[in-house]
Amino acid sequence: MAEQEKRPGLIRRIGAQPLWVRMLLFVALIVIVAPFSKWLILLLLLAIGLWPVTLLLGLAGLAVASIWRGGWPWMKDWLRRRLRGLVVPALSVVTALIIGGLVIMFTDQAVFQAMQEGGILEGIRLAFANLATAYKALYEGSLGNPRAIVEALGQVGGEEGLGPLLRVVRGPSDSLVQSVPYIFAGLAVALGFRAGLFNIGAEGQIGIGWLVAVVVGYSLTGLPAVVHLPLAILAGAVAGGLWAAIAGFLKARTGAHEVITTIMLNYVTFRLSAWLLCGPLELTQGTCRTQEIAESAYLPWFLERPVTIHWGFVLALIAAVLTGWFLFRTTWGFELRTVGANPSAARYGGMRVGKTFVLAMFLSGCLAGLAGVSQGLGITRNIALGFQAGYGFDSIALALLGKSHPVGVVGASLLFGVLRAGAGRMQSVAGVPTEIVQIVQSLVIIFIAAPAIIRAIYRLRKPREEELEVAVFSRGWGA
Amino acid sequence: MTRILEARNITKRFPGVLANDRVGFTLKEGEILAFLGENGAGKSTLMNILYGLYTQDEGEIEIRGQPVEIQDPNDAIALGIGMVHQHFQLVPVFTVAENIVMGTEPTRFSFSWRLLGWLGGVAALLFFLGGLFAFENLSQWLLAALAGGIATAALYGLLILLGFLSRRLTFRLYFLLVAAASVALLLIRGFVLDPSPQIPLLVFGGLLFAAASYPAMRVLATALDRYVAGRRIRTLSKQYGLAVDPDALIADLPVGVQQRVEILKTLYREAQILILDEPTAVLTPQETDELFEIMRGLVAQGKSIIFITHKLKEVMTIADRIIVLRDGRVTGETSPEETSEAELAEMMVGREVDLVVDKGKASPGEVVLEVANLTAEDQRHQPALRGVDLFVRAGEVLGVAGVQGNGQTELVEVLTGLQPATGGTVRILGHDVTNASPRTVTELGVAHIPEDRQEDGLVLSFPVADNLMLCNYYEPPFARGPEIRFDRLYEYAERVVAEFDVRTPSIAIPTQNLSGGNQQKVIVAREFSRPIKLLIAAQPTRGLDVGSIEYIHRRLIQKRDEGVAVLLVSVELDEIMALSDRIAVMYEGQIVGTVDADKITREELGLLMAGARPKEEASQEADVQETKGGIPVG
Amino acid sequence: MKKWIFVTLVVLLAASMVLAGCGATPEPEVEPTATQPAAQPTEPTAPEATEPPAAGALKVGMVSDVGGIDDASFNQNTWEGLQRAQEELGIQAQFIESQAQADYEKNITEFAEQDYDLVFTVGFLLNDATAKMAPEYPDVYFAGIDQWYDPAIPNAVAITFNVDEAAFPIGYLAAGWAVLQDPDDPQIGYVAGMQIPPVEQFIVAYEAGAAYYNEQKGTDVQVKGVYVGDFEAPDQGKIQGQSLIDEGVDIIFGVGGKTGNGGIAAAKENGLWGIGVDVDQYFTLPNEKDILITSCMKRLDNAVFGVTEALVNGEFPAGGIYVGTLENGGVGLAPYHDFEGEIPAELDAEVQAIVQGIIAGEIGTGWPVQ
Repeated sequence: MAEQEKRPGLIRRIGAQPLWVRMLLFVALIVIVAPFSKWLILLLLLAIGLWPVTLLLGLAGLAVASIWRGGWPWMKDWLRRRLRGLVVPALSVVTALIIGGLVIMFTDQAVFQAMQEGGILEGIRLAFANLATAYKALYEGSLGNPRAIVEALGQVGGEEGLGPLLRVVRGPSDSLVQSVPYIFAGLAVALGFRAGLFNIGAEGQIGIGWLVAVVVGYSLTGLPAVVHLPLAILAGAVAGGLWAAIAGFLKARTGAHEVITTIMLNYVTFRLSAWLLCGPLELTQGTCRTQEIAESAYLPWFLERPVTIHWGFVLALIAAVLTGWFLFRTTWGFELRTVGANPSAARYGGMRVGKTFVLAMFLSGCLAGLAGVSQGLGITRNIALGFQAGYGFDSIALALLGKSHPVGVVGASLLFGVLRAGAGRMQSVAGVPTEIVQIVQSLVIIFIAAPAIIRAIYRLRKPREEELEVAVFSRGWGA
Repeated sequence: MTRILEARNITKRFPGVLANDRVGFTLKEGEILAFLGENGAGKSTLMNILYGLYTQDEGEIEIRGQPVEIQDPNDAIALGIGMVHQHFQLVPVFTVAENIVMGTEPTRFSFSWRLLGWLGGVAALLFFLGGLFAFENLSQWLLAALAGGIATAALYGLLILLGFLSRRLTFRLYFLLVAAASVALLLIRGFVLDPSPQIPLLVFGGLLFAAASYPAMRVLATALDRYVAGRRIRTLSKQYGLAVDPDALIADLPVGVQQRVEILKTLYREAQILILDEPTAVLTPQETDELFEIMRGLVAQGKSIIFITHKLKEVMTIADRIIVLRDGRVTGETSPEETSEAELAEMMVGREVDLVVDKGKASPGEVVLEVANLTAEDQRHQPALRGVDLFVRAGEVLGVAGVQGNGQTELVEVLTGLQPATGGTVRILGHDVTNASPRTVTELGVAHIPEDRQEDGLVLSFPVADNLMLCNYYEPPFARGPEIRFDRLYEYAERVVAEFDVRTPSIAIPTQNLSGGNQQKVIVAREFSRPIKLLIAAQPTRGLDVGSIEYIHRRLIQKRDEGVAVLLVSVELDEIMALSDRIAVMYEGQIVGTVDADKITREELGLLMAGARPKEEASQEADVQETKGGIPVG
Repeated sequence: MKKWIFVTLVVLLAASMVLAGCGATPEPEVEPTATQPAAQPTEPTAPEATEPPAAGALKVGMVSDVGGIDDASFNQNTWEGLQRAQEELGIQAQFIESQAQADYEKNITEFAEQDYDLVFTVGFLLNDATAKMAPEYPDVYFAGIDQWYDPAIPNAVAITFNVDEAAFPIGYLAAGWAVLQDPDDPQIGYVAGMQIPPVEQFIVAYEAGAAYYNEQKGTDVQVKGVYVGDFEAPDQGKIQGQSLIDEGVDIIFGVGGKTGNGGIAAAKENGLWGIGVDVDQYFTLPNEKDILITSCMKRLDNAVFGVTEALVNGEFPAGGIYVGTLENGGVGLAPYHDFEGEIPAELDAEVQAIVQGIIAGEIGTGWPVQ
């Protein structure tokens, strides 16, 4: 923890190095860390599963660090700065879960039946029992059962090897796996927002990226994984990018609004993929899916089943860092943000607005394509009819939740990943429809979009004397 | 008259700026105290401190002799201070009465009540969570509850220490009572009558129930409030002569009446001291007069008013006493009887203000900009330029005069590459730049102060620093490879901001938080800090205060004297007359005449601008021909 | 002072709620002891109360495809079968609705990790995922509906349906009905989803049934139809159905989820007739039920129940297949319901004869296409 305290300084020092030095450092880091990745990921999963312990350790570390740095006032300041932005989102999640809980309790036929037969209290009792079962399952399915984890830790070294431990960290792993496409797609939409573009076509770009990556994955054989995997990833990303760039090009050239064109491209993707999957690319008649990709194109897993976390997660984090770097540290990013914030001023500054639109759509599409790639190469390893999961549409909400900032998008995606991962367990154990999770997600979005509601409920003090952070969203439908 | 409010040594620092420097003043009961100052002089900061939006770093405030601490607007309202902001805080789709009542529902409960509420609530939540896992018998649960309680106490203690929870209001008594009642009820049922292990769930349920019924409670209370409020509003408006219909929708009311609603709002909250922040900025002269009537009425009934403005005439009309602020300091305290407008202006700006720009004779050099037979269309594809001919030489100012909408906007846009020409040629330093890209033009050494600074010249949501590199972000020193070197940018920005006297708390704050004059200075700083050969300035001082106008004028002339060719486009005749060496008059997309500035009077210029050919048309034509003939060709 | 009014009001309200609550309390207190003594023992004893009541009961899970559990079709039908098994066989059943292809493996894992005994995966889209996951969990039995494993998996059974056996007599019935209602220009039609073999299986046999009618009666009943290319587009189905009707079609066979339902809706609007699919749609299409002469049923519920019963009895056909046929009730024709008296007895008799003929193997349905 003390080390973490030095990091801002360290980061700044590294940041001052020329680009190639930083790239070398990054590659070196990956090469050094990769052999231990299995253990690092396991550690990460355990840290998530035992988050209260992690939190306490963190606080303890901070307290120790504060001894050298000015004691409580320093620690208070540090916490304030780090937590300020988290208060409203955290309360939003809690409130959304409470309301979701009410929905679970009072949408169950059995509850009303119990009320009629055994009186109101009987019904309420049943409702709470349902709620408890449901939320316990939601928690276990997404963050794991802490007690089981502790027990499993005690068995490490036994004859079953890592087996028991893996089984108990499946929840955290599922959460991370589920958040991967969310991160990519959320970044895609956020990047579009920054350029003033409303990319509604992420869903279609995901499909294209998925399709192309899978086709490259199975049609080329005999390549070593070092060549094949990056090739498949790149192919999927570029395909998604080019697909989206069509909309960017149309906007730049003819002024066609990207909302319309990307929606239409979505339909083209859906129909095209349906035809391809039940036609030319079909494995055998009647299967409506492609054959499986070659092993050399697998996005490798860190651990074994049932812990399915794969390298896509690391790629997603890297993509977030790169997106942030691109947007906020490069001249292209500056152009993109300027065009998004004020196209007139961009023209005045000598920027080519049309070119920037195309570039922004291309990059946005690349990121969305990567969402498909990560699903295709990391999870399904083929593509079948019905692959659409709605990530593209959820990602719009994610970008809004994350204020179009990579860090925010990653945070929001993790939240959505957690909820989605727990949904299956909740349904299988408690019979609560997975849609509840969508209700909770929507409520979180509403609360974060209108923080005044949360401030009013919890009587939070308004942020004041702080620079008003201006989130750059799309310039709207009329833009 | 007694002192109702006294402020001493108020000091407020923002990062990099001393917004208020030991400001002190007293406000007496029943007087109108005017605060006069330029934009950014610290008037608004001071008022925001009084109203609790900011907290002063140093200094004391006393109200009726009692020292007070104003933490937030609720404090201010409780102390009888009301503020009418420059931008009204009204909800357009609500009625007058609703707007007035909004936010006045009584909501305060003591700290300990709140803490108890939070403790109870979160303990129950943790209790619930604990029950989900692992605990199988009562004693375990009790332990969990105890642990939960301690953890909660710690958590909330921490949050309060960190200042996340408002010190005034967090939990509602209502919520607390219902929650406690539900919990008690369910505990009784659970423990005493039917020992079932579902207790934590029941406790949780009590809280849920309380939370769910809370909105209904509020609606009820609001309805009650509204009834009472309607009656009080009528009384108040009669008493102070503020004619407003409480049931009218805000959206349907003119600005002047909306302002009255704002005033009523403060009166409704029993304000004794009214702060009016630039109230006349949005009003027509008639409405201003009405406002002054209202103000006199309020004062007559014992209210005290603080009136903020930068308009000298208004101060002389309405104020009992005047305090002038400059750079966050009080530079003068006087009254209308003792002073004059000129004296006030001097106190505001800090020196004698003279609109006649002090400039020497121009020494024109070679032709820098040459426009021949230029034609262009406006946005509706109607001809806007119908064959414009003009030239500007190094070291001279060519003023383009004309009534707005005679093609000046299009002229500037075509010259800077922002809009295509349909015919003719533009040459800068001998290069043909007809229909060249904006970047080509910029790189030739052309600076452009755009007519609409907020639309074209700045990205308002970006920090000041970023706006300073808007035109050359891609070149060293700002760029290294694909990356922007923000360290270099910030160094540069700090230097330039200091050099051009841009009043901003920090180079990192969004440009939209700056006043108009300072925004314009950002543009000037950016454009003048590059090596330039030609300056195209369109309406460079529109909407600015006296000091800023003077500053920008001085800078323009300074550039001229450095040998830059200046094309000044302005609809302000005074500005054209003051700055130009030669004046070209534009009418319906053509230059109808170009004359030397010292050979023409305002009246003649006005006639030309109106499209009337002056009597000595022939000689004017000859004059133009002559100067035209003097252009070195090629 | 207004503040105090408010506070008093609040306190009063709160107090009244407490009182109301207290007032209500005694009543349920008496009730459980008086009227529900038997209910006490079965009351949940822990938050995990909804978990299996008795140890040893078989746990059967079901992973739906993306249509959702209440799709009025496959998923719902499977679930009904499981519910019946729950009641009659005392097993414990749960389901998870998949939201996308990427969820299939995760959801199967969910059940397998919870040590379920048998997991049904519904729909041919889950074929791959089932084939991949079954070997990972050799202790769990899997049953894939509309699936096919090659090579066979020792702990999985593939459930398929010879829907052509039911579609053939329905084609015959439809042709007969069209001749009866519109003797001048008898035409029958269909609105189908995607053109994939499971759908084609219906259509081919339906057409063959109509052809068989023409052959027998010397009529010329035409079959017209369209594959919309989507299972989720009732609007498209309706539009296509309308254009078929404009061409003179008298009865529409809706094959393909919501799209097919759209076709039937078009028939209803024109005062014509429809035929349902998969389940007895008389019960799932309340608006159109009065024009449904029958439905071509795939009795997933029977199949699911049958497979579950086999497991309970220790006869689970692991590694094999389970084919739903007319003979074992896996497919069938729905009752005529409102048309009970209107279908001529003669036509009904012919249809029943064809059914028997198919069961006996005397009549070919035209599927698979040679």
